[in-house]
Amino acid sequence: MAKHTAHSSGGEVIRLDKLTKRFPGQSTPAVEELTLEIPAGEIVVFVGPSGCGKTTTMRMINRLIEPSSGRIFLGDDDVTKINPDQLRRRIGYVIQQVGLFPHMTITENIGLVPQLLGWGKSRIRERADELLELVGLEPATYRQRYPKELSGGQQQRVGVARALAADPPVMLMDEPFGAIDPITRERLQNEFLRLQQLIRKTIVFVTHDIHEAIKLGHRIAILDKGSRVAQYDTPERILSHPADDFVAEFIGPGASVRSLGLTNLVDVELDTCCVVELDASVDKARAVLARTRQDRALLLDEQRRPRGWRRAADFEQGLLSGGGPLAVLRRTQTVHDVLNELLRTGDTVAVIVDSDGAYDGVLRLETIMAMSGHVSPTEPAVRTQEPRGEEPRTGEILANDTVGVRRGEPS
Amino acid sequence: MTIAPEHLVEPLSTPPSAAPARGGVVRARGAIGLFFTPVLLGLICLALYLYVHARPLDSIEQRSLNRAFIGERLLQHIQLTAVSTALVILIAVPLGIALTRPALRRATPFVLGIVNIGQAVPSIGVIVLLAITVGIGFGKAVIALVIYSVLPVLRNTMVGLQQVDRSLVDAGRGMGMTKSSVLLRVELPLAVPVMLAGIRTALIINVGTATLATFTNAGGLGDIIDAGLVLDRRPVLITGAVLVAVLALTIDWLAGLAERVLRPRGL
Repeated sequence: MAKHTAHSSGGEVIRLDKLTKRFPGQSTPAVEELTLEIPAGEIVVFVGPSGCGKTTTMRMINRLIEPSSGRIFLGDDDVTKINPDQLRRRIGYVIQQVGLFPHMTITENIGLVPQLLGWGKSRIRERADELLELVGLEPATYRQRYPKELSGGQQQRVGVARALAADPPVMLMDEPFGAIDPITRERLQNEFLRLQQLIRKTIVFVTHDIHEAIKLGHRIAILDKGSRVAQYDTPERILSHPADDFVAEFIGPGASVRSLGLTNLVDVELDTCCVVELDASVDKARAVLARTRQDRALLLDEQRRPRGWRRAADFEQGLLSGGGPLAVLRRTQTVHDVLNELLRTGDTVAVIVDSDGAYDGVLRLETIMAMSGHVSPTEPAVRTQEPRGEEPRTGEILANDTVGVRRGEPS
Repeated sequence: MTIAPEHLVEPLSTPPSAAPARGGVVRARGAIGLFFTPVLLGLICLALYLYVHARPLDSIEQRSLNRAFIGERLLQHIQLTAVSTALVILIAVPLGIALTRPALRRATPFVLGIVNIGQAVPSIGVIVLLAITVGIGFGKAVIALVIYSVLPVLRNTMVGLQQVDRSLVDAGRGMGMTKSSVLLRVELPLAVPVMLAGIRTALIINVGTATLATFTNAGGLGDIIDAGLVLDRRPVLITGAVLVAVLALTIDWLAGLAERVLRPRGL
């Protein structure tokens, strides 16, 4: 996405102090004495059933809804009583309906808040280009277009760019991906996470989708009626230790499986296995298997991309034949994806590759079980004895054999 | 809100000529109309000229059918139309804006009710009633025309503003635009097409109704028609009627042109 990082000032802490909203003519307050601290630079997701007051709470932060009582702090400033229009120019705002102005070009839409703040024309143009690039839209193609010429996903990218225009320390996002098809939503969520790594804003994100909350939030505030905070914690803690029945019911069944979706393969120490390169001789391959006491080896091609598993018996037909389906995953995927792939292929070992598709290591089912605190009773967690450092040597030995596979084929 | 809904849902109802071109096919046809209308109108004027010139005019006819008389009436007619429409815009647009603001929304049914009466009463009635109560002349005729044509502009201003997507207003306010800046930069530009349709309707009403101003001594092309009727001179009658029709169509054509030019891009 962004080759150069857009200028960003990072986030500011938001503190809500006994925030209450009573709508006229309603007996119970929509939000009752909510006290919450949203740490600087984090994504905090407000999630809860409809009518719990999460949107009302969010709209009180930029005072689109004026609180009946309580106070709001942005950084060290008490913003409860300051001019709301001035306040909102310090807070990015993204809504589900996107709300791009149809009669303005993309650049004009993005440049609105900077214009309100009195920026010069050329500075606004530069900023718009910079932001378009940041959200993955080619500026030359899109800057003069009108919103109706963009797809829903592209419009919401512009919506996010517009909210970031004046580099506000805080962003409020009200179900921003709610009206977007599931595939695009997934992509936008991933891009959003990557974007946040660059800009480090304090983001309040409202959704009713607990999966989205778990995926995006550094912290999740699960809200019950009247914006009562049922639990305010990291996704991991909420999944593993729901505070009460309401939270448990809200996150639904399958919390353990879902928590695996939070573990990225980048953060996992991979297992190793025996590898054989394509141009190795059968004899050498067999020798390596025997030496490492493994029952199968992973065949790699010239670019070290996995080609398939080979058992000693398969070598009779030469290296190219044999082998079942292969569970291959990239390092950017999660342990949950590994589990899914293992179930699909019926294997117990998944091959993990780097961004070029080259072999990086393997992940065994036992390792995953051990990760979630279980050890399979029948099979002791056998991790390969072969240390990782030895792999290249295995490959090296075999690769040194000048004649490749074809020589190994039975004549 | 409880406004007579038929007036709000159908902002473009009154004369069919005022309906704005929508969609590709219609717009293409509109473009052809934009080109052929002036040609057609020119041909009609030529035909009228030849018709009048081909016959020997008696002295009575000559008193009406001369350049100075017709020119003056034409000018008066255009003035009546222009002044009344300008006044209507000055009154109805701000009123329409005010009535769609939250503070004044309650007054909407009341105001629309009054304005409705203006249009429900036949135009000749409005003019005559006004002539009886406040007097005759150009100014009084303009008042009558304003009363009669304020409704379409007011109604379309309100509908145009109300049909602006609420989420756009929310987005604008949420990003720190003031209320007036949301109104000026978002709501009004987006309401322009519907408002223009209303103004076009008002123009057409005024150009037609201004013909009746002759009865209150305010001049206009109605003088020629009236003379033709009273003096029983067919060429005079035809000249007046054709000129009114040609003027109305010309103004409608100009208004259509304006609608095209002023419609915001990107809609």
